[in-house]
Amino acid sequence: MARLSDADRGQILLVAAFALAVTFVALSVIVNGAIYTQNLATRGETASSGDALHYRAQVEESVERLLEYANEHNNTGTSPTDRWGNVRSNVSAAVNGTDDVIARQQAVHGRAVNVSFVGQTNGTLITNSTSTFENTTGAANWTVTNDDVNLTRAFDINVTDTDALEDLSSDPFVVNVTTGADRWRLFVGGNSTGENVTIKTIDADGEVDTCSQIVTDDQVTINVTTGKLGGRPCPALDFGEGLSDSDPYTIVFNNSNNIEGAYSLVIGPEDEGAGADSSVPNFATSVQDVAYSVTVHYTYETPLLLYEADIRVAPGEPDD
Amino acid sequence: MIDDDRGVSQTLGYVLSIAIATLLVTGLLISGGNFIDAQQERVVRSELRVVGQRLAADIEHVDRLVVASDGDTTVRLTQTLPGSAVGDQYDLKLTAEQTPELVLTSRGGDVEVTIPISNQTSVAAAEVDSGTIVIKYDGTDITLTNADE
Repeated sequence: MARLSDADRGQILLVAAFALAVTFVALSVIVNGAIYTQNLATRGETASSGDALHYRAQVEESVERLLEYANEHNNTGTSPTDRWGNVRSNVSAAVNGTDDVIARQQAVHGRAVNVSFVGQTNGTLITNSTSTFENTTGAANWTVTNDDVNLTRAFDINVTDTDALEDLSSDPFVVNVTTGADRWRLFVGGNSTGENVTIKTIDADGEVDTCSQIVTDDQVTINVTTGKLGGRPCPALDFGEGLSDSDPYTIVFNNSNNIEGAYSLVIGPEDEGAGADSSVPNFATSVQDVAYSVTVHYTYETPLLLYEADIRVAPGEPDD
Repeated sequence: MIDDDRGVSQTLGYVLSIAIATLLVTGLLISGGNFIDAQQERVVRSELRVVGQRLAADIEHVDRLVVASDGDTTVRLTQTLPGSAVGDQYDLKLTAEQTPELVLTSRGGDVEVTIPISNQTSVAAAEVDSGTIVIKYDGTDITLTNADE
């Protein structure tokens, strides 16, 4: 009789043990899930989309260099149409060559990368061949471009003699950008000893901004479209700030007898059919036909990611 | 005579011990079950959060790729997510509001996790199952679909 009671108690213990065992097994499944979640959380990117942007930046940089080289060495021909055509065919051939090299390099890593030439916007490079900013007839106030310019890039002013700059309160050199209704102005002035150069901008809403730079060797460079004075960023230099994006504008220089050095800018778009440099009244001392911008089509493909995009390359364009 | 006494107390003894044992075992099973449920919900929530954040990061990647382009863009990104979270299958829903949100709901256990997404490209509302998901940009919106559709 006593033994029967013992056997009973043993059976109950077994049932309780089974219940606990089921609990433990269920808990182990949960622990497994928790460990898997931790592992999942620490995994890196699987689709390598960071690489897609990395190579895009490389392609953009390469095409920028190709464009600058072609603009400098390949704009030869008897007419503007010829010259633009030569630049286009050279850039297009160079882009194809780059595509061959990149495609082969990336194929080794299991990626299909392609670059192809899509199109070109024609433009004109306006610069001076002497160290004065006046036009061919010697006028100090003159129109640099006509009123159908929509794009300007790489506008650089290199002042070689800061002593010749006037103070901002008297008659400093002015760059006027007008759409007819609004205008954006840039004033370049210096103090009497030429050691302090100040630029002032008045935008289309009337806001005034200035930047100053201490100059030791009488020279200073102003990058108007990239926004730098003497190599340092200048927030006042926001080319065309306040002007409507869709309105074409005219660029006029005033008091160009009060500045000495070199200027250069590339304007666009130029229409091939309209004839030579229709935007430039041919008063600047040096005018050349160049490409304003080039558009290429970039494709990046891996088993998990497909990315196709157009890249528009226009070195020195103001960032919006 | 003493046996009769024991006999009576034995039956009662059996009943009592069975009753007590039943109570104890039932109590053990119920508390064990509750404990497992609570732990499972925590782990499911944490796994859905991780899965949701991975997918949200991929959507933001596609957004960056679209923003980096200067013209016509095509983007297609394939991501494989685990089919179930601790045994529970789950659904994903993308809401297209000012601040889009990714909502993951587990089918078994009523767990819902919301992940906000910061983006510059517009996003189309979508509902997908777990598994392999394709994030696509079709020229206007970013959309999500299952890979076999």
